[in-house]
Amino acid sequence: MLEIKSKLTSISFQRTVNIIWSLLVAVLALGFALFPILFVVAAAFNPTGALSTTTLIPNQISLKNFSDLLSDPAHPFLLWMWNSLKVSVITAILAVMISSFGAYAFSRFRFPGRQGLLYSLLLIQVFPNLLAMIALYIIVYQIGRYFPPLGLNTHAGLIFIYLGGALGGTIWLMKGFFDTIPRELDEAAVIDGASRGQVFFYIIFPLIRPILMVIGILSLIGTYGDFILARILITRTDNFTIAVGMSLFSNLQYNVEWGKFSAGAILGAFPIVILFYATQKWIVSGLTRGAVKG
Amino acid sequence: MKSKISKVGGPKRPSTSPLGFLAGYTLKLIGLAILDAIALWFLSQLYKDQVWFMFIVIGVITIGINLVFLVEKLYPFQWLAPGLALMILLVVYPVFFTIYTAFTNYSTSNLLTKSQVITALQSEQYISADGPAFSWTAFRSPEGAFAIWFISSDGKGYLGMPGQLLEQPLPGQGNLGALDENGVPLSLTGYTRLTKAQTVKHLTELTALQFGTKPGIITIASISKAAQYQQKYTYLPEQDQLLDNETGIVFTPVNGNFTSPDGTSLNPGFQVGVGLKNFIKLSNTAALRGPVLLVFSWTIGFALFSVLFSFALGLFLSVTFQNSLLPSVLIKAIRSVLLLPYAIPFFLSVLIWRGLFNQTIGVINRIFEALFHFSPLWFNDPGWAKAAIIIINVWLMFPYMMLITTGSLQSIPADLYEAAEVDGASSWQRFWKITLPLLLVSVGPLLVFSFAGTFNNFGLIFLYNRGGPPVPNTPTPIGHTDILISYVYNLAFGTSNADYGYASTITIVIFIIVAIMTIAQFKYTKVWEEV
Amino acid sequence: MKKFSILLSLIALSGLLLAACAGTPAAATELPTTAPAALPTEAPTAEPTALPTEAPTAEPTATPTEMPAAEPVTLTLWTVSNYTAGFKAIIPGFEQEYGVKVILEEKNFGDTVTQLQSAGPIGQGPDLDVVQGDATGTLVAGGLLSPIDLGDKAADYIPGAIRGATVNGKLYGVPVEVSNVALFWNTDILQKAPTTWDEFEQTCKDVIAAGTQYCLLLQEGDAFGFFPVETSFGGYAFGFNPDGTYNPNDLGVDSYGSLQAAKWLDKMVKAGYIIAGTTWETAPTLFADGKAAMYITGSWNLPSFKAAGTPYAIAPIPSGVQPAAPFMGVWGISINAFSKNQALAQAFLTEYWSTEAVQLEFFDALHIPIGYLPALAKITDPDILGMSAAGTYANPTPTISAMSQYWSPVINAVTFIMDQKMDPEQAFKEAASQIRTLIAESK
Repeated sequence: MLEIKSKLTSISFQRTVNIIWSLLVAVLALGFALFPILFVVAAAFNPTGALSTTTLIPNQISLKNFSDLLSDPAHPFLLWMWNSLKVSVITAILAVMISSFGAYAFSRFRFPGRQGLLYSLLLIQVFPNLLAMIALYIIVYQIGRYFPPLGLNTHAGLIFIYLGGALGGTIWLMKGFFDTIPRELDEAAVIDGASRGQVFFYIIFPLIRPILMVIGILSLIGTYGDFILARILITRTDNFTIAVGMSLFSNLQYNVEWGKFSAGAILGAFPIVILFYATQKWIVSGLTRGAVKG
Repeated sequence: MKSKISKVGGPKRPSTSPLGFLAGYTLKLIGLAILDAIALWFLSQLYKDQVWFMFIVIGVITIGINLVFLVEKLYPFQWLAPGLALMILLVVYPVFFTIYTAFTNYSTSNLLTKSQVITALQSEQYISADGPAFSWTAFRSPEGAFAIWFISSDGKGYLGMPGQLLEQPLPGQGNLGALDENGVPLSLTGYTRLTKAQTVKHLTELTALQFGTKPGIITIASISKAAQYQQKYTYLPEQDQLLDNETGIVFTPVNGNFTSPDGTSLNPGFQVGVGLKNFIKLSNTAALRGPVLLVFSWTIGFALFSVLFSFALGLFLSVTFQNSLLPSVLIKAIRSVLLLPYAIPFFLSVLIWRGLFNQTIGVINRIFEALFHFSPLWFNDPGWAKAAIIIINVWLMFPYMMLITTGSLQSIPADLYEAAEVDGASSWQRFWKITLPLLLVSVGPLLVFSFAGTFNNFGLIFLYNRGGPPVPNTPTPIGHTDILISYVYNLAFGTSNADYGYASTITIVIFIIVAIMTIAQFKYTKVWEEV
Repeated sequence: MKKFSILLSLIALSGLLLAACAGTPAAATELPTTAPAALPTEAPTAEPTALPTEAPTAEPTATPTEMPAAEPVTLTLWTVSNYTAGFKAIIPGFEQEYGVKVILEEKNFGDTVTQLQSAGPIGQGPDLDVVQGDATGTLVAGGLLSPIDLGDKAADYIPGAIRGATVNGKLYGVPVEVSNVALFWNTDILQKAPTTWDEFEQTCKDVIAAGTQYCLLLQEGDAFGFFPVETSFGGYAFGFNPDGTYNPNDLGVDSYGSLQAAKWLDKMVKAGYIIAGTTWETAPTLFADGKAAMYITGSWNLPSFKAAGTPYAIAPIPSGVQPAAPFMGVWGISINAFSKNQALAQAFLTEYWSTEAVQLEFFDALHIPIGYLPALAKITDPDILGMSAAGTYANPTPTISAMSQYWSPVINAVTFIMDQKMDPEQAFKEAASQIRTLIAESK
């Protein structure tokens, strides 16, 4: 009798500990992550436009910054946000595709130069690319002379440049993930008569969904907030992405419109957070566990 | 788009009829043919316009793609083709560009190519001492032809038609109307006199016209001036010299500038190769006599601790939430909000942190005062400043770490955990013996990569306190939180001028250092082990 | 194989998507010659009859001069966002009067220079570019700017501003804003601003005894704000050549005057009249909240002081052995050397920009210190007048390349003194030696 009782309490005890512990961790982590962001929120709602890191609750609260931000025809914030979303989503989809093809090749095939190539891919990404900006600008300009839709000041050109990094460091992550899926699966399918392409799409692809989503999200965030490349390649205000557009409010130390900038930062972060929330079920699916068998 | 691709399920029995196979092969050939057609057209254009670097790069890529798709042995490369092609054009080429630049004097004062400089100098003009200068008024016919009335500095009036000698007609003669009080004709038959506003509108056209005949050609320079301009410089190709037509001085190209015998050089300068000059300059720089070792060790420490702590935090969070029994809606929301540090613009976040760490009125120090009765000097003390920077960097990086570990955790089969539990392993043991090793297989390289990236991340350092607090008694300015790249880049970049050649040299040296560390880390973590 | 063809079509689909993206408005890469709206022109588009004697050696890529009214001419102007409102106010007048469309592009601080360096030589630059004065030297050395011939109108601008934009005897920039730092003082705390440093010390003693925490606000490492103080002691950055240009070999950081100024700063910090540790974020707030009696800063803080209702006034920086001479910060409009509309750009500057009416209109939109004297004479804004008075002896910030080596070491030296980490003379002497090292290396 006593044995059974202690066993029962032990399970529910464990459950309680787990929940309390999770909540504690969550609160601490959220506190750490959100602490500075609360000041951004405060500044966004502060109509005087000041960025105070001393008082959390501003003297006046209003939506003035938001309305200023969204109603300025010279600075079309919503258009910028749309531009950024468009560019980053397309880049993410293409980057994930290109990256997964590459990772598949590295994982499944053995060919001469394989190790060398993997090493080189990593090393070349590590090259400090300060001067790359000049080179990339000239490349896009030259391409634009013959294929105008891909030239300077176009979104297609910007996406094209972003894809240069598709085979970057994340290919290791993908390859590692691919490696955990046993080759027996591939081989079984090939014996059944499937082509390599079919193996990729019908067998491997569903199993690597979590990592595809992760890399997609990483790519998305990276390009969404990119400031350096977009600033050089996009010159017309209407074509700006969100980071470039917002930088017009902050002339580095002088006349910075903190209120509008903060409001823009908050609004700009929304799509990312929502996207991440919505796509989490594909990352943490649980479907992939146990795919080993059979 | 996702729904088109992903299908959960077992392998379908594919159609392997010979016809299907042939169709696939033909499609591939057609695709390749189209690609080749476009590439060849592109290459011909590049050749015509002499854009050599792109010609070579595109040529290499095209040949590569063809080889890869036609030679069966190179099948694996077909999967890599799109990524590699993009990488060669957009990553490899800029690297070569940087390396090439290190051997030139490319800088903000040597920006143009030699031919551009020659063109620019040859378009400079001067008015010879006895050459006439005029004010002018424009007349325009309905068809768009222009006639100009010039008034010379001694008050004489001339009528000019493009390409013809100037005439001095009298009022009433020919098509000339009466003169107004400034000596300008009120009318000209067949032409309307333009107002100043109208003249400005046509200025670009007007400046292209030439009046009079050689050798006394008169051109319009601005709204108020026209004169007999002479070309100031003439380039003599055989001797590779520039002759100043006004003074007779001969300029020869020396290290990227046309220089006269007495040493004056002409602006603008042009790019030339300078061999190893930049490298020698780097090895002789006073900066190397400064506390380089100090900077180097801090840079390593900065990168190491940032990566280590943010990884630990990110991993801790992802494991906790993975195993948490909280409702999944809540967990998903928590994870999404935790992504915010990664999603807020970097510039804004660092600025806020600067304010939070402010020594006198920052929130953090107010808390410290209340709890511990002392205020760390987050900006003025080297140690505390370094701590602050690492804290900020961990804050910036942990969502990324949380994201990749969450994804990688999914690859660890659940039955491994079950088996271990059955064997009596505690959750701690399960973590150390199962989770961590398997995780590091896929995440390991990314950590190495993050280390390299952080090593060169001077954005944070600069925004926080420009590398300060400064170190006293050094040959060149240096701060306690300067990292290697910010320390040496200052040598090449001024407030608005930049020596790109020198900067490229520095880039190469830093790259070699980072590459060595990266390779060493790889070998050490034996990440090459495959599952 | 079959799946691979699906793959190909997917890539093609993405390609189509990319092409769809490219359908954004105004995707043209040639900026100067596109004008979406046809301008009403005076001449009907008659068939172009062959004109006799068109200049055979006309500009190679100029718009064909045979076509009347077919190619509307446009001027492209790059500006930093500070001045956008001002240009927006005056551009319609130009377009109306001259029938030339002006395209205004707003850029980040710094980008009007760096983007000109990459875009100019390939023909992607603007016609007119607003750049900060101390970049002029670099841009001229790079062959990116054309000389501007203002003729008599040059005398209508603040002489120092014109001098500052002159390189090798030619003018390269027409002033947009001419500013300098000044002494802002709180009218509630002080009755009048001190005019000499002796007065200043007495003032501070009284003010601190009466309870104000900060007497003079000087930001940590603020070499720019400290410079006028240096000059009042006889110090300087670079000496002058006989022709008025700066001499990079005559560094004034370790001159007797500058060393005196350094010692003075040390004395003030020790006395508590200047307190270390304020930054560019906290100092304005302190002054705005009335916690400081005086603050050396510029017009960029005016909006926040006004918003906070601070009772302030502006005065010249106190003099020592001579009047204070702050750096004159000049922003000007320059002409891109690669522009196809040189004379037109020049005409914009001489005929339109350099007129009283336009300058006043520009001022009304922005309330910044402009550089055009006839318009300045009409301005009654006390802030502008106060800053002008403080800038009576201002000298243009040097545009010689040696100047870019000046800032880091001097900022560090001022920081050392304020934090009491180094002997003041030692700090400035070391800064001077660092600057000389860097100058020598950059050759």
